[in-house]
Parts: sequence; C-alpha cells; structure tokens
Amino acid sequence: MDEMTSVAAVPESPPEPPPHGPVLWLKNNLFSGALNTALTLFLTPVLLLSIRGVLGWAVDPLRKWPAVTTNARLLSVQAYPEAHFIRVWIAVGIVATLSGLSAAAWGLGGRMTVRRIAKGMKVAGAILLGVALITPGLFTDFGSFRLWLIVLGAGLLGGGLAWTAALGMRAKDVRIPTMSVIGLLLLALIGFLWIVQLPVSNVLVDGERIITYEPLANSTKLPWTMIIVILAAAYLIGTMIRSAVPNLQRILSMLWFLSFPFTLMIVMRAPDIEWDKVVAIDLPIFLLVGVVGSVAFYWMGNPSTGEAGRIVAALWVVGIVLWMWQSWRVDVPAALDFTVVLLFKAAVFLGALFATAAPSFGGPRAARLRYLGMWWSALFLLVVAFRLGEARSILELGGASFVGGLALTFTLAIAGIGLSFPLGILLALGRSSTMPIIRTISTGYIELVRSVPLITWLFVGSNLLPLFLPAEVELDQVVRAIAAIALFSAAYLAENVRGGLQSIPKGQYEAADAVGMSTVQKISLITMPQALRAVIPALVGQVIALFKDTSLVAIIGLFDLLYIARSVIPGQSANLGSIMVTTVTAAVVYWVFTFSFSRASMRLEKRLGLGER
Amino acid sequence: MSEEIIQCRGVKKWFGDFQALKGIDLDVTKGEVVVIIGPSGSGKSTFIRCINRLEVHQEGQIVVDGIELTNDVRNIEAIRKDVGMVFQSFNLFPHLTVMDNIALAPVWVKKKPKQEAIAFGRSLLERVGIPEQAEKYPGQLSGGQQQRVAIARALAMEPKIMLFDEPTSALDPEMVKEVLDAMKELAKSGMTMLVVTHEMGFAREVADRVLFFDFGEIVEAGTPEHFFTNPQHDRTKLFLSQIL
Amino acid sequence: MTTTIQRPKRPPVWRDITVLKWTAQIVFLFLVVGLFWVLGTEAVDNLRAQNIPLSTDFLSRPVGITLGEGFNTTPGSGIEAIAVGIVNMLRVTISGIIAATILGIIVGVSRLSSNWLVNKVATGYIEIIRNIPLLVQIVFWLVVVQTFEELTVEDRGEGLFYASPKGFAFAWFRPTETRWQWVAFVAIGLAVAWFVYRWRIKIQESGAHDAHAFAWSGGVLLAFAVVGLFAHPLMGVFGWIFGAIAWVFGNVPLFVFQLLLAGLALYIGWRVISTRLDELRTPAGLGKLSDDDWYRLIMAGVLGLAGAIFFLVSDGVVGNIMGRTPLFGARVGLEPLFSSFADRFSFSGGWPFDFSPALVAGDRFVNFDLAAGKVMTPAFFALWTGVTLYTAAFIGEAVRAGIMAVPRGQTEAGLAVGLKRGQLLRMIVLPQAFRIILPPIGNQYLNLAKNTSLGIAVAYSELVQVGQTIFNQTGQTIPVFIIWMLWFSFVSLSLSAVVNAWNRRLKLVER
Repeated sequence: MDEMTSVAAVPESPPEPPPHGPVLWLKNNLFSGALNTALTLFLTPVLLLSIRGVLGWAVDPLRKWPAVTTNARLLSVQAYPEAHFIRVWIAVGIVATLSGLSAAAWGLGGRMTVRRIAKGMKVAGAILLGVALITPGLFTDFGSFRLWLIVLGAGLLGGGLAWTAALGMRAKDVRIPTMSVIGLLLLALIGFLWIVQLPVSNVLVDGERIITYEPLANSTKLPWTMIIVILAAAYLIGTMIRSAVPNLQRILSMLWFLSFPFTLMIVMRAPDIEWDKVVAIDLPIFLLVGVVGSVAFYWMGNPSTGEAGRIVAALWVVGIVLWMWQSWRVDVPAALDFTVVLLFKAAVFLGALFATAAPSFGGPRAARLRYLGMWWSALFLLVVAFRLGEARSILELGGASFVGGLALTFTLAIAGIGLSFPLGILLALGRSSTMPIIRTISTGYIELVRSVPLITWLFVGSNLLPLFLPAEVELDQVVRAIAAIALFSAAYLAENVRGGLQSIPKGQYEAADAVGMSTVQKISLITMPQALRAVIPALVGQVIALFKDTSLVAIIGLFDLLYIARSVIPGQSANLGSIMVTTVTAAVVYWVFTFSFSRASMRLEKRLGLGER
Repeated sequence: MSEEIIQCRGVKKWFGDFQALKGIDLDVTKGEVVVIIGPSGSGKSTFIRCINRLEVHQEGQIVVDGIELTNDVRNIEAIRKDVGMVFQSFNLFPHLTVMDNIALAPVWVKKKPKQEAIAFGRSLLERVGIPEQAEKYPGQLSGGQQQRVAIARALAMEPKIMLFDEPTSALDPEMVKEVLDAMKELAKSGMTMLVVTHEMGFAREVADRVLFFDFGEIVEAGTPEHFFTNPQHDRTKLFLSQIL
Repeated sequence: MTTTIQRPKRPPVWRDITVLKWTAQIVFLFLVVGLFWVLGTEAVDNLRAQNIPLSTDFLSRPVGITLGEGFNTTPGSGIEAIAVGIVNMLRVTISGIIAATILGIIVGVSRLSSNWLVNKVATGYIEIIRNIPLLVQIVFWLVVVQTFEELTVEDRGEGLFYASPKGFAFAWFRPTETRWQWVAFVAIGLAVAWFVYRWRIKIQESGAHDAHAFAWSGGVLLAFAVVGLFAHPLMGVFGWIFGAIAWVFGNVPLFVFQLLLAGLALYIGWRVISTRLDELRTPAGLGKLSDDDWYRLIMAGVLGLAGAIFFLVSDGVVGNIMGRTPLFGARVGLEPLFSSFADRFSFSGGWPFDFSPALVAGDRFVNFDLAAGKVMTPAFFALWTGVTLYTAAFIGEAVRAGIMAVPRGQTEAGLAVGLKRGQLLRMIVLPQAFRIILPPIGNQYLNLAKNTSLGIAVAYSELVQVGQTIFNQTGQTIPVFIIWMLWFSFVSLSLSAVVNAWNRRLKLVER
C-alpha cells in the first residue's frame, strides 16, 4: 500500500507528441528501403503521364462530349414524352421527400470535426489544382475552364489550410453538424446549376456541326432546384416531427416499400384504368374472397379449433393448386373475361397462403382481428396491382417499355431485388430444411441456376418463357427480363441467407422448441430476423451485383443505359463516332452509383458491428 | 401415494452407433426435485432433453403428465407447453429485449393477450430479482442475469415441470449464487424440477433425490444424505472423490 | 412403487409427425413435377401451333452459319458449330484464368505494400474495375480497338506486332506437328521433377543441410524441356499405346462394355449404401435410421439400379460413348478420341515450335497461314481483357483478405523461432493464407468461365453466341438451352470438384 502511494506521488511527465512531419512521412511511405524507393521513382512519372494522357484525351476537341449533354434526357428516361415530364419530376420529388424525412428520422449525420472538413477541402483543392496543372493543351477550349479550376482549387486549399491554422490543436475537437456541411454543398450545387454552361451540338442545314455553349434549360434547372429545396425542407420537417411521431421510422419504411410500385405504376406509367371493370370484376372478387377468407381465418385462428383448421388450410392449398393447373390447360369459357379467372385464382391463392399461417398467428380476438387486417390489406394490394398491371398506359410509346435509360436500369434492379427476396428466403429455408425431398429440390434449383450464366436466363425469359405460358397471357419484354433477373438472383440470395441461418447457434432453435413454438413461428420470430441481420453485408453485395448485372439486358435488346449509350446516340447523324465518349459516360454513371452503394454498405457494416452483441 | 408426473420405462437412445442411453427407468412425483449428476458424456443431458422431446428417444416409453411422447403432433405441442427448460448457454433471443424474450411464447404459443403476458413477465422478473432490466437486450446483461431471464422465460409458460441443463456451468463463479438462489426459491414453491448440475451444495440442500448417471445408465439413486455420505457403488465413489 | 403404463397407442394418421412430414414432401414433389409437366405440354402445344416441332435434327444437319473465329468458321453441322463455340469459350476461360491469377496476385500484394503510391494505385484499380459492370468494360475495350488507325499498304510485310481496328497481329512460336511429342516429354519431366522434389525434401529432413529442393526439381524440369526438343521422337511409343487403346474401344464386342458399365453403376450404388450403413450400424441393428438416412440409401440404390438397367438396355448410348455409332452425325466417343491421340504421336523429329512473324498482306492480316504468327481478333481482345481485368480485381481482394487473415501471432511466432523473412513467408504465412484464399479464388474462376458468355455482346463466337445464332436459324430454342445448361453445369461441377479436392488435401495437411 505504501509503495503504491509513493509511486503515484512522482509527477507524471507530459506525453510527447509522436514524431511526425512531411519528411518523415515521405521516408516511411515512399522511400523505406531500396525496393520501395525504386518503385516510387518508377511509378511517379508513369502515373503522372497516364493521368495527363487521360485528361488530355478528355479535353481533346475531337471528343464529342455534346453527344452526352444533348442526349442527357435520352440517357436517363429514353423517349418519355415531354408533355408528361412532370410525372418524372413527381417521382423524383417523392424520392427526395422520403430521403429528407428518413435522414431526419434515423438521425443521420451527427457531427464532423473541423479537422476532417478542412482535410476534405485541402484534398479537393489539391486535386483541382493538380488537374488544372497536368492537363495538356493550354490553348484549347479548356483555357477558361482551367482558370476556374485554379481559382476554385486554390480557394479550397487555402481555405482549408487557413481554417486549420486558425484553430490549431483545437481543430480536432471543434465539431460542426454534418447536415450543415451538406446543406452548404447543396446550396453550392444550386448555384452551379444556374451558372454552368454546357456544350450543345447544332447541325446546320449544310451538315456542318457547330458547338455552342448554353446555360441549362429552365426545364432542367428549375425542377432540380425545387427538388433540392424539397429535400432540405423534408429534412427540416423531419427533425421537427421526429419526436412527435413515435412510429416515424416504421411509417417511413412502409412508405419506402410502397413508393416504388406507386411511382412506377401510377406516376410514371399513367395507367388508363377501366373503371367499369373495377366495379364489375375487381370489387365483387375483392369482397367475396375477402369475406370468405375473413370467416375462415377467424375460425382457424381460434386456439380451440385445433388441427381441423390446419387440415382445411392444407386442403385449400392443394385445391387451388390443382385448380390452377386444370384451368391452365382447359380453355376459359368465352363468356368470362380471361382476367376474371386469373384475378380470382390469384386471390384464392393468396388466401391459401394466409390460411396456412392462420393457426400460428391466431389467438385471442385482438390477434385474430389484427390478422384479418393484414389479410384485407394484402388482398387490396393484390387487386390494385393486378388492375394496374392489366391497364394500358395513357402514354403512347413505342419500344419494349414505357421507360428506358437509367430509369429502366433502376426499375430492373429494384423490381428484381424486391421479387427475388421472398423467393430467396424460401429457397434458403428449403435448402436448410430437414425434409430430404424439399431440400433436394431447393438445392437442385439453387445449383442449376448458379451454374449457368445470367445471360442464358435472360434468353430463357425473352425466348422461352412465352412458350411455357398460355397464348392468352402476353408479357411485356421488361416483365420477362425482371422475372429472369429475379429467379436468377433468388438463388444467390438464398445462399447468402442460408449462410446466415447456419451462423445461428443450435441453441436458438432448441430454446424456441422448448417454449413450444411452431415451425412457422420459430422461423419468422426467431431464426429469420437473426439470420438476415447477420448477412446484411452479403445481401448489400448481392444488390450491388444485381445492379451491375442489369446492364446485360442490353444484349436482349432492352433500351437500358448501356444500350442507348452504345447504339442509339452514336447512330444520330450529329453524333457519329461518339461511341467512345458515351460508353465512358455510361461507365462513369454506373461507377458513381455502385461506388456510393458499396461505401454506404461499408459504413452500415461498421455501425452494425458497433451495435448489439 | 403421490402422483407421478414423469414416468420413464426402458428409455434408449443412440447417436449413430454410440448408445447414449441404455434403458432408463425413472418416476418423478409431483413437486419432487431430482438432481442428476455424473461425468460429462454420461447421457444425463440427453436424458432430460428427451423429456421435452428436444431429442427423440428410440426405444422405451416416456409419459409426462399423463401424455405419452410419441410422434403425435398434438402430444408434442402439449408437452412443450407443460415443460419449461433452462439451458447451459442461456439461449436467450439476442435480437429481442428481455421483456420480449419472456412475453413472446405466452403471446404466440399460449395465445395470451399481450398486456397480460407483459404484466406476468414483470412479476416473474421481480421474482428472479431483476425487474429493472426489462427493456435491455440480452447482450447487455451479465451471465447470471441472462440465466435468470432464461428461468423467467421458461416460467412465463406456467409449466408444471422445469428442466435445468447445467444452468450454472457457463457462469463466472461469482454469478453462480444468484442463479442457484432463484432455483432454490423455485424449488420451495413446489415446482417439479429435474436438474443436471455439478453444484453438489445445491444437490445436498435442495434435492429430494440424487441420481448418478454413468455410461448412459442410472448407476445409483438415493436421498442426498445417503448419496453423499454413504455411496454404494464404486463408480459413484470414484466420481465423488474426484469432484469433492 | 412403479405404476405400469399401458402400451402406447399409435397416434391418428393426421397427427403423426412422420406421416405429416412425408405427406407434405410428396405433395410438394407432386406439385413441382406437375408444374414442369404443365409447362412442358404447353410448350409442345405452342411449338406445334408455330409449326416448329421440337427436334434435335439441326445437330446433324448443315446449319449454314458462319462464325467469327475458331478452328472451323464454317461448321458443317450444328454439333460442329457447338464444338467450335465450346473450344472458343475454353480459350478465353483458360487464358483468362492464367492472366487474371497473375495480375490478381500482383494487385493483392500491392494492396498490402508499405509503399503509399503502390498501395493507392492498386486500390484505385480495384475500386474502378469492381464498380463498373463487366459488360460495359467489354464494350469499352472493343471501342478502344475500333479507334485504332487502319492498316495501309505501307504496312505490308513482316513484323513483330501490328494493331488495327481488325485486331492485333504479333509474332509467335507457332507449334508444329511434333509439339505433342514434346509436351508429352515435358509431362514426364514434370512427374520426374515431383519425385526429385520429394526426394530432396526427405534428404533435407534427415540431414541438417539445405537440400535446395526447388532448385533441383526446377533443374530437372528444365533439362527435360531442353532435351525434349531433340529427344521427343521417343514419345512415338505413345502413338502405339493410344492406338491399342483405341482398338480395344473400337473392336471388343459392345455387350462387354455394357456389362462393365452396368457393373460399375451397381458397384457405386452398393458402395454408397454399404459405407453409409457401416457408419450407421448400431448395436440394436438398423432399425434406428432417420428419415434422411432412408432417403439417401433408397436414392443410392434406385440410382445405381437405374444406371445399370440403362446401360444394359441402351446399346446405342454405350455405342456413342465408345464411338461406334456417330452422335448426331459427328464422330465422338472414346475410340475417335484415342485414335486422334494416337495420330498426334509419331517417331518423326523436328522443332516442336517455329518462330513466325506477323504478316500483313494488302491492308489486312494474314491469319491461318503456316508461316504467320498469331492474330487476335477485336472480339477476343475485348472479352479477354474485360474478364481478365475484372476477375483480377476480385482475386486481388481475395489474396489481400487471405494474407490479412493469417493472425499476427503467426508471424511473431515465426520470427521468435528465428525464421528469416523469406522462410517466414514461404513456410508460415503463405500456406495458411493459401488455404483461406483458395475457395474464393475457385469461385472467381467459375465466375470468369460464366462471364465468357458476355462475348455475345461483342460477337465473339463462344457457346452462347453460337447457340443464339443456331436458334435464330432453326427456331430450336429448347434444345439449345438444354445444351447451354449441360455445358455450364459441367464446367461448374468440374471446377468446383477440382477446388474441393484441393481444399480437402489442404485440410488434411492441417491435421
């Protein structure tokens, strides 16, 4: 005891800062040893020359960049009619609103240290200055642009340096809300929209091409300005209502889930709904199936019903499946619209799914009523989706789909992921099941699909699927591509989910068994939530892969971003020979999205790692 | 004569070609506390896991509360509701709060209204001494607290029998006592308990009967007094000499 | 004191868990089979309505298509066209795998370099390549070639390397007819080198001095390669051996092979069952099998029996396998295979390789001329560059992750027992890293093989592109899809079999 106090009494010497400085950094990182020095000396000129080469290529007056700027609209939404462009802006506005609200609801951002912001400024400034200095061709069009770069770069670099110098050692302690930094950036973006001038190629009567620099059209900069304002406003509103609305996160999740089909099918597609059919077909089927289902599920969910409920559910499933086959083969009576039978069967099938789960989710009156609520909303969504899918679009459009370009790329990716998720989960359950036949079939599906490349499945979708369906069913080319992508991606997702299921300790299953849970309850309440959480990084990776894979639809002739970039624009008379430029543009667009997804997922992974357990 | 709540006749079980249980005969009366001891790999855990059918016995009969364990779905469901189990490694659900862990099964399996289940869960947490932890996640609790939550989770189903599979083996020494105290309190309340444990003090104090398992058989059975002071069998003597 | 329990009653059927489980599965199987049945009949009906009855005739008939490149650009029949497609696909796959592995290892190691510049260059490479769709990259490389300047008459003549929008031409060691003899010689050298390696290792382990096992075996291999340039006519013996094997397949009565194959099928089935039963045998007999065990045993038995019956009944298929009867008009099977092997060996001498310069005649490359070097088409270049660079990025990440996954303690322990840095890397870090790296790299090889199908976007004549051309001509989509599936499944299965076998070996070493 005495010794310890005497030791503690000796005054502690202040910690010395570790050795640092630019010279030391160079020595440690570039010239540590003969090999590294040689590599550095060799790589530096090679790198500088290559960057100079790439920049020189980009600013060469021979490049037909106007091909991209003039056709920006074609690349993003293909031939969407200009009169209906407000629909596109509404769709973007919905996404912006939800993004702003979500950023507030999940409390994104936090605070950043001044040191980090200043470092960002310094790096950005240095890069801009570097680009301005390295780029060859002093006296081309690039001249005035170069001046802007130097001014901006020097400003950022100087600002960053001055800021850190002013704060000194406190730079790593002073914090600024991240959102205010982002707000400033958005303001700068609005300013940029209003001053930037882009090259436009005009073909004169005698075929000569002249490039003029014009500011963005009002029809571009006004909506974008509004979108940015909406985004900021939504964020501010979100921060205000965050505390008042307790379920905000859950509500927003639901809205996100619904926003995709809503924007795609109603806003963008502008369906021409035949209301007489809605009254004559949809409403009766909705009410009939809904009421019959309600009675049945209320009875099945009653704990005193026992096995009888399960037997009825099983008979229901077998019955509807048998009936689906039977009338697939037999011609539909002419008196009945084909869609009536299809909708009715789909509704009854949905009912069969609800019936199998009814005993597990039933219970006292309140639980059963809640289950009925789920049933009515699911049925409602089914009927609405059916009618929307069946209706023709108001827009008169040629081509395979009502939307193309980057919008088609996103449509394919989101729809593919959304559809492959449930199927992937079912396949994962099948493959890790203890029932050998189900396991064999699931394994067979997963392995067959994974061993054959996606392009063959896309051919199956575009060339083979129509053969397998009754002649009355006509599927849009885009729908077929989505089906192929979803069926393909499901096999990969299934393997990821299975990895998650395998990571769950056996004890979890035993504990669930020991408290008497049924298989459905065990999966939906205990194992699946944990399994999905465990494999979020792998799932995000799969989403990114699927986003990249959508480019393959260009091969089967869909007008996605790549197809337009590769064949449509270079085919325009004003833009002959611009294929290199447009391909590079497509690559950059894909890169920006994929790179930001993967960065976001890395951050998410880190956050999850810090969280529970 | 008191009522027999568990009856086992010639229970046998194999894992591949390894015979884990070689014909177990056992009757447990209502309210009895039976402690099972034995070296690891002796089949004691397998045996109590057979009683709520986490393991399926291959020969012999097990009757719990008048219901025989067969392939009948209804029987399996009924028995799982009557028999609570506490595991060596707690097996709490890590993605749910303590209260959700406890209330989940009563709501979904017993179909109790949620408010009722939560109120009952609160009383159980008080009973095991951690009412303040209800909204935490299992990962935020100590081992001893987790095991007490696991006891509360099993009790939430209002079982007639409680099985304990080495409940203190995975705990740090200073936490063993809090779990044993909860189990003692439970025993005093008249619960029928089957406890696999290495805690000889607990066996001596609480058990009505002690069974010694070795090589898949009950080698010796008796009151704790008889068992610890005057063991009959050589294997029992050897085992006791090694651990005491 | 024990009360008796009455004998158990069997539970009613609808509550028996075993009955329920099997009923559910059989119903499910029935649904799946039914679904396929419905789809199949629908397809047959639809095809009949379109007047394209399902048939495989196109395989043996002339299809009248011209391929961009390959060993036969005007194939005489469907099956020949498909063979060209498969060979073209393998060309890209194999050369791509080799190049991607080398580049990937360089990138992966660079990512761990302490040199800031090297590290950043490798990181930049990976982040750029990984985040752009492969198809976009392949298209990009094609466009790059198309921007080259056209050849002119001034370029006429011989040279080492030419580039033009029509591809690349470069001087190459063109293999001559005797190359297979030399390859066989080197293969023997490889085996000998392996034994030498083992022998030197043994010496090193018994004595204290360094036995230079690597140098020894390398030297042996080199010696064989050099001596083989002159001594390869000795390998003509293989011509006799393969000829004899071909004779056996061609002339021994067919029913002998049928019996052999049937016996083999039965034997494999029986082996599976008996090993499984040995594992499961309990003192109480076999009554303790789980559902799963029964399912496996029955499946093994049924499959073995079905295989045996199949071989006994269908002499046509066995004839195909042996090469007696042509398959879709093409001479395939074991007999033609071995006779073609036999043809590749003779006792004649001469250099196995000739140095041939690239040739330009007029304004185009000379290809398929015995005196000319190699020509790489733009399509091949685009596809090969695309898949190689793309796969190398992923391999690089796998290599980096594998090396990082070797715990630091391992390096420290190695240094503590006095290993030098080189030894440390060779004996401690790399073997462990390799075990971690192998499965993901195997996966990447598989992805590369599948990604060659993107060649269709640049009109490279690989299997998918050839198949598409065929069904555009004949309308026979379904057979073409089946061929695709069979081929890609075969590639996947064989690649994963190789990786698994290797993995198992490495795991054995670990114990």
